[in-house]
Amino acid sequence: MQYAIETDRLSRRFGRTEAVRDFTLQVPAGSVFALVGPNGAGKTTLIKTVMNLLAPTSGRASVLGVDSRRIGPPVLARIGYVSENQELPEWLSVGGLMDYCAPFYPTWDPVFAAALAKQLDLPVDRPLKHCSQGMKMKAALLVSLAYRPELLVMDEPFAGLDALVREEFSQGILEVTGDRPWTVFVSSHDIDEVERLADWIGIINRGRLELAEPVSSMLSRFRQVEVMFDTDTPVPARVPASWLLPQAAGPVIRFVESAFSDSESPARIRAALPAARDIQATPMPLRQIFIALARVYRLSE
Amino acid sequence: MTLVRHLVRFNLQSLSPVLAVWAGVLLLQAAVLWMGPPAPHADLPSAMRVDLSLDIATIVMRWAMTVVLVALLVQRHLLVGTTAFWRTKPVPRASVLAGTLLSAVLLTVIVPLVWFGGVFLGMGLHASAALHAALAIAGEQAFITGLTLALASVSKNLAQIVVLGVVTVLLYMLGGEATWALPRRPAPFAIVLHTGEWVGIAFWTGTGILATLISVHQHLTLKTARSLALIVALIAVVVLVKRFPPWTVTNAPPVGGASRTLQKPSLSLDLESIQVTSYSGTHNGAVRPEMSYTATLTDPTPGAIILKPINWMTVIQFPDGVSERSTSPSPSPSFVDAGVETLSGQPYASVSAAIGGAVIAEPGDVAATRYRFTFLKVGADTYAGRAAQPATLNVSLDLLAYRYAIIARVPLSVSGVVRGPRYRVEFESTAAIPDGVGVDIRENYVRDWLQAAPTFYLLLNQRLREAVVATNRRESLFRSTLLDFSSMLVNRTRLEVRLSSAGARQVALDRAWLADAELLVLKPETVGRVSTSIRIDGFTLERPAKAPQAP
Repeated sequence: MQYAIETDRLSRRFGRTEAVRDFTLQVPAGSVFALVGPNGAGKTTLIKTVMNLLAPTSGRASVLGVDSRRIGPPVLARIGYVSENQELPEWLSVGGLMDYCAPFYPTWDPVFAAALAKQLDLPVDRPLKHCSQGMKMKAALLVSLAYRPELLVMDEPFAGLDALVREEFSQGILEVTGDRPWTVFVSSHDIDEVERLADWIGIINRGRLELAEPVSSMLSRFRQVEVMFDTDTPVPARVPASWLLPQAAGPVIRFVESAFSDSESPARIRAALPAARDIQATPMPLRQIFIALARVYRLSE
Repeated sequence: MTLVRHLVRFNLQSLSPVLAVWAGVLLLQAAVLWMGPPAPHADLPSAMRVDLSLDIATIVMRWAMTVVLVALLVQRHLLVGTTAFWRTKPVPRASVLAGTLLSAVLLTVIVPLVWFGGVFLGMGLHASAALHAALAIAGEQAFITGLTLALASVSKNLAQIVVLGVVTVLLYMLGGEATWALPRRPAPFAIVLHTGEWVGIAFWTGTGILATLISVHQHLTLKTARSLALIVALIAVVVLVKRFPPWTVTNAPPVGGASRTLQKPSLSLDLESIQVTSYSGTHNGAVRPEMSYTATLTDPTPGAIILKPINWMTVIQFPDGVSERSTSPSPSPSFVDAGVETLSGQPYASVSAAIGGAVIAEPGDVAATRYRFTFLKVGADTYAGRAAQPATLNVSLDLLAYRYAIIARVPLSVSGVVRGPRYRVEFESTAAIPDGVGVDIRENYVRDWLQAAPTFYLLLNQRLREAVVATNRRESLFRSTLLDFSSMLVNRTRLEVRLSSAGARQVALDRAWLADAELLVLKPETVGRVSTSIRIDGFTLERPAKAPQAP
């Protein structure tokens, strides 16, 4: 499999703080990969290290097959980058920003750029300094899409955007994604923001990669399980490792099954809880999975 | 190259509102220089003080706008932190560097060079002089631009640049203070400038270029900590070079054949005039009481050449072999706009030689100039223990030699304008003053930062071969630069000749005499340097005035 981004035991330290620790990740080419984690988890540091804005303390990363430390103009011409931390040239208008960026890219498509401006509802003549945060992010997205990059990297692009702008923003990405194969790597602290976009999910916590897999895989293996008993039943001392956050409430034991299988899980549960009267396994939306995992990570700290 | 052109165009377009202010500042300084200072005899003393600071104000505005422009240019493509927009775009660092440097040099060096070159041409200077004066401004601009490039390259915004600038100045001053504890070389920097203005230009533009190289380093490596360390290193280099200049006065060419007497000038130290003062001085950083001996240096040899002591060292040796050494002080303000009191020799004889031997009616004392200077300092302990001991005193002197030359002859008429290679003088009017005549002139000229000797103005009656020294009673002056460069000066001077003065009485000065007169302007030209020494045996610290006269 081709990977658009690869990291191998990547670490980045700021003084005594290790913002990214032994981070090993593969982002498959053609995927829309969402890296989700709480604020301060190390998402921005990871992206800046991958983009060669920061040097790794140890380990290595590669982007589009090029070592991150060697990322220069030829590779950057194939990458789009949008970040809430980016300082846009606010003295320019939206159109001025397009004029500024166009000569950097041999593949810049002015017709596509104009269409994107229209689609994103951007006022071309308005100075960026007079634009809302949402418009600024959309302008940054526009100048990152207009040359049809092979990889789009977005760091918290939805932060501070209202629902309507978020929708327009996501729609813009999805429509471009529909055109041709490319890779999108997007970070967010809120799973809701990226749920609609992503087909791969990675979870970062305290600088470590806790999980990375296709969304379909996650949705199929996580279930909210409720086991009903006839009498009050405590959680057994030993439960399978795949049961997350088990808790008892009277005659009910609830947990999150992280390795659910339609064919095998009911039997495994009955084996672990022989007195079970009824078992209900409910599919979980990504948001619930993320919250459950976040709780697990917090408890394990 | 296309990308660099794009970046330059982008830089210029993005600065268009600031460029309008920049154009206004350049226009304002040109207008101030063009109009010149108010006539010195204007009866508006308080208003005049404001007018006289206009030139400095416009220079400061030019500096400030240069800082703002360069800061904005650099920070259009921020070089610190990880949030700069361009860092994630396919823009080579070298292109950003080239775009920024080209924009900065174009706006802050080339534009002022061309603009002021044209302005100075319009003000009546010869092309070479206009270029020279415009280059001085460009050199000053290059220094400020270079320094700002370095500071802006390691800053995020204008406020940080200002803070860094203040820290830089403080470090420079502290560094200067720290070097006072180090042994000194008897060749202060300002003296070196007498050997040629290019030393000063090389110093400041060199500093600007080194600062620019720090900006180049930051552009290409983005290693801010190392660039900051390089700035500190540059400050140290500047402090040390100013304190221990690699150039010394001995680099000046020796006088050769200009005058036989110059090979061994018969200077003497007037021991009758010695004054002894007790005060607290510093020595190697420590404060200690000292006795200071001041005397006058005389040069009785008449001739076309005048001398200016610029560097000296005195060694007093006692019979038991113990000796103490005194050296010339660090640069003295007297070197700027020096008057005849800083000369040794007979300036009027030099002036007379320059005008073909015409009789000069001199105002006041016509004797050889008596140059007063502190030639010896000894510690209070030495004085207490050895005051009565006859010692041998040896004063070694380096002097620069000058000769006066006519740079302008101005007919005293309404249309009197004279242009020289670096000088334009315009006769404005004559005015009757009680007991004499006043002549108002306006001068536009390029002057070295340190003029070694005063300008002389004479009224010459060529028919009678008689001249009268006109004193410049009042003058007001505008300059174009602040650093140690040649500066374009615009000077309005009221020259006066009083009929009752000692000089005027030596010739039959009257209205008829004045009717045939023309105004001569004479300035000193450097001939070279000369070194000599004065030895005095039997010198006693206690009663120096009674010591034997030097041969």
